Amino acid sequence: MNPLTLDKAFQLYDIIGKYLPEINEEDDALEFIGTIVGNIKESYEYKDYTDAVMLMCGMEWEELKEKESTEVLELFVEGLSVNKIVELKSFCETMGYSDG
Amino acid sequence: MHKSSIVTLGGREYEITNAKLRKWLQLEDLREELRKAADREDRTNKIYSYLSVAISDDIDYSTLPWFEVAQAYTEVLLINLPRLEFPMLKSAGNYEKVPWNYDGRSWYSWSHIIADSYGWTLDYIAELDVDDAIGLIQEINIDKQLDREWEWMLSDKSVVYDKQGKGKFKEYERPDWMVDKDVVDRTHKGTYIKKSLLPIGNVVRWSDEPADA
Repeated sequence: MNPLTLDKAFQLYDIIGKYLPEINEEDDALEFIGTIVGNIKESYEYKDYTDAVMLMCGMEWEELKEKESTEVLELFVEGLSVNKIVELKSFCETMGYSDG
Repeated sequence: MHKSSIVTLGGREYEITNAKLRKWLQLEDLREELRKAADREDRTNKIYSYLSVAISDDIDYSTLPWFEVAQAYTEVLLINLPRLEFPMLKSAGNYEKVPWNYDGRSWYSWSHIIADSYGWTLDYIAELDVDDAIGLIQEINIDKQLDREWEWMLSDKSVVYDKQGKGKFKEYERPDWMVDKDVVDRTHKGTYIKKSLLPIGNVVRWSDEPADA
């Protein structure tokens, strides 16, 4: 999976920015990503989840819907990791970019 | 003062240096446009334009990973921050829109102010160190403001009358960066006399002259 370009990264932030927890220096990236997944689950906005995966993987819905849920979760986690989601949040906040 | 840094874009290293005045103003204009960017696409394009001016326009920033672009942007931003904390730059900047404004006016406005005061050429002004230029512009603005205050003080506009016909001095408004927040009312500090109007050197009065001279 390739990292996103700036335009797509802003798009990703538009989709999942509202689910990102505050950055805690003590948390590692996996904990951070785990909290994001938990926040999306709580919101029941599963479309945001699938939209984020499709964006990060460059995949269409027809292809994604054929995958197992665990496989989709793996893609989501890998995508956030490849795209340095903690740094993305920090950069967007510094730029005054509001999600959504 | 020369400052430099290295950024990596697409696997290649680029040395970036702090911009001289003309380029710095161009970057600041782009930063202002970026602040006002209407949407995601506009914002992204403004960042690419900023980097094209600061680093090179031969790079296709739209194909690079976002974090390389973000890091380069941050580096350029940091390297171009003025070293000194000029009060003029802390101004709220609530400038009214004027009909004679246009994109890229900053350079012409700044160079005009400096050239008017010092008579330097545009080429020389364009290559000024940013801190030097800001410091000089601030001093020029202070001089102009104090001149206006002096003229104001001598005009009848500086006195307002109440219903009883009693006159009260009304101060000429200062830009916010020139206002000392601790001294709100300057009239209680005595009358300010411009330094340029004070006598230079020893003052010789007629009475000091020897009687037989």
